[in-house]
Amino acid sequence: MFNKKPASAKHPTKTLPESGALNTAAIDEYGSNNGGDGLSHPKKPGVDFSHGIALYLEEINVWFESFQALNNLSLYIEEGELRCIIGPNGAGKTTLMDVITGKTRPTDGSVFFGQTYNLASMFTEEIAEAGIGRKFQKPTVFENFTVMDNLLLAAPKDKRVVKSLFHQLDADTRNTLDGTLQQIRLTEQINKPAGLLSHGQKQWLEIGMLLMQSPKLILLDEPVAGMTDAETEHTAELCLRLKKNHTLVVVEHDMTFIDAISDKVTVLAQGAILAEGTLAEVQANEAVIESYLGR
Amino acid sequence: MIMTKLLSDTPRSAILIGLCFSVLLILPWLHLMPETSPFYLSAYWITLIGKIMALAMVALALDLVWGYAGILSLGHGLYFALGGYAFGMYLTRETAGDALPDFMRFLSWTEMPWYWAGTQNFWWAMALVVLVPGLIAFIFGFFAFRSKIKGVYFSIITQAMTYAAALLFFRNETGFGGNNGFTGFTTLLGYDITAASTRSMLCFITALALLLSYVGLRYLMNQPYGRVLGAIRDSENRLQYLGYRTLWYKLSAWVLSAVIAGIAGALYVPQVGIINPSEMNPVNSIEMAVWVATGGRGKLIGAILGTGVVNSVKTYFTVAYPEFWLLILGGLFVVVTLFLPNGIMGLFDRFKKEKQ
Repeated sequence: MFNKKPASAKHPTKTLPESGALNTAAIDEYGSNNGGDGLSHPKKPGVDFSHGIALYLEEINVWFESFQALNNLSLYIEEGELRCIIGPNGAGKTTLMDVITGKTRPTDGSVFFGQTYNLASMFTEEIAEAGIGRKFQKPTVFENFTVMDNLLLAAPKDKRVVKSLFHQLDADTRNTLDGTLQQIRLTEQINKPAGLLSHGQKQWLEIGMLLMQSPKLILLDEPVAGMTDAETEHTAELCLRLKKNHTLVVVEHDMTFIDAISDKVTVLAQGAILAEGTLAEVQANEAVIESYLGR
Repeated sequence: MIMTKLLSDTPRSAILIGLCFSVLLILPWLHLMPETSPFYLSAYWITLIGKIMALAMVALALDLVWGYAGILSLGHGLYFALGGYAFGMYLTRETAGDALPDFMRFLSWTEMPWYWAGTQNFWWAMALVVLVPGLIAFIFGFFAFRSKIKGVYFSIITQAMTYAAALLFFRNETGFGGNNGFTGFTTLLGYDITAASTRSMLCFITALALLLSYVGLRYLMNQPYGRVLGAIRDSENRLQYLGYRTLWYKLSAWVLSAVIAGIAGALYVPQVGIINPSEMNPVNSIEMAVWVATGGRGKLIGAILGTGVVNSVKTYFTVAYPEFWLLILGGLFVVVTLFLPNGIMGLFDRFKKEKQ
């Protein structure tokens, strides 16, 4: 039951030698061999989820000097899934997010986004461009900018310099903007500098930026930390709405929140997967109880 | 409506700014009035106004990278001087005619170095004015930004760059007139460079260039491009998580800034009649940052205002109390940093708020 890989797991470049050749070529073109400097603008083929898996993490190890943050971790996120990741402090949850977004390089192991993007050799900008969005643990919005400007920064599909020179606010973007503002309940604060928003509103604004960016895969790092119960409830609604069109990975401590949104929960401890299953299942798991309460 | 939008956010300030620019565009022609007229402006004033306007262009360029993108350059004097030298080469060739320029004959050179080729052509010289600062800024910026050099480290490198260039240009062997630089220009496109009409025209073109730089940069900063630059200043990392390749944004702003500074240098040289390596002195570049800080960072009009104010004060003090000028400049910087973090423009904003 626990730690079971989906049937179609294992990244095909590793398991299927004959189709592997084809895939490796694709990686060279779009993923790993981008000139290595994060500068080139490859023609984007769009991410390939043909095997039904959005994210492959295989045998990831991350060492910080003599401290091992992730220990031989393998994790597969299916397309359209909402996966919650819980675990005690220092379990490696944020490190995991850092590995996926290119902030931290795995010491070894492979990270693939769909079939073609080798995240372990891509830069943060390229990973974002490929379709992975992230909300940080601490709300990070552009405090000097208005709510609208924050959302518009996230909006353009093509974020190259040339596109930023003559672009005017088109009807499509305007509609998405209005819709997003409503969803994150900030319509009235549209011209307010983000720095003046409450903590909860900043969190929503950051989620709103993700909605504008509309990435394929969304990583949420503690989205309800520091929120009131009412705010938490609304955030849960937002997450469920996001789930309709996106694949989500949510790291959270708040069990009520997890209970409200989760299908499948992964428990991390000391950099490795301890258990996987529904919330009720993992809560009943001896090893999980041990790791949360045992120390 | 569109006209006022080009100049400022509110119609009232747009009218004020429009009036100021109109005055700047008209002033140069007062030099052509008969000397007995009460409106007559002497060559001294025309040159001074033209010079300050050219410097204001550099301040605009610096405000683009510092005020918006948050990249403090303490070496913009380099790009200014490179533009000045490129145009100075043309003026030197025009003065020398078919012969070698004087300073080369004094070094008993028999032929011109290769990089002087074509500089007798006005348009090639103009191309160099844009290309040389642009290319050097591109190469330097590319490696600096790619290596993620930021903040004070970046500023120190720009400072070192301009100092190194000054040392290079001081050498006679470099082929740019060494210590003396270029001077003693006689004609520009065949016109006598000291004639009243030429002076007026140069001053007018400088005013026009300043207006165009201002309007152009203002337009650019109101596009998404300006918003991205501001976001780079506030949190470059966050922006990368949104999928922006910030390197190209920084680099394009940096190169554009260098090009504007170069053009300003080219306008400056024929008006003051000399270009030498002292323009690359680090102190000059630091002074440019003081102009922008005094006027108000991140406000284009502030950069122009700051340049005008500081240089007017400088013109007065360097004549009246020359030995105190550097003390006053330093004092001004301290006062602005401590009490006017947003410069003179910040002061205006505060008044406006108190009124409301």
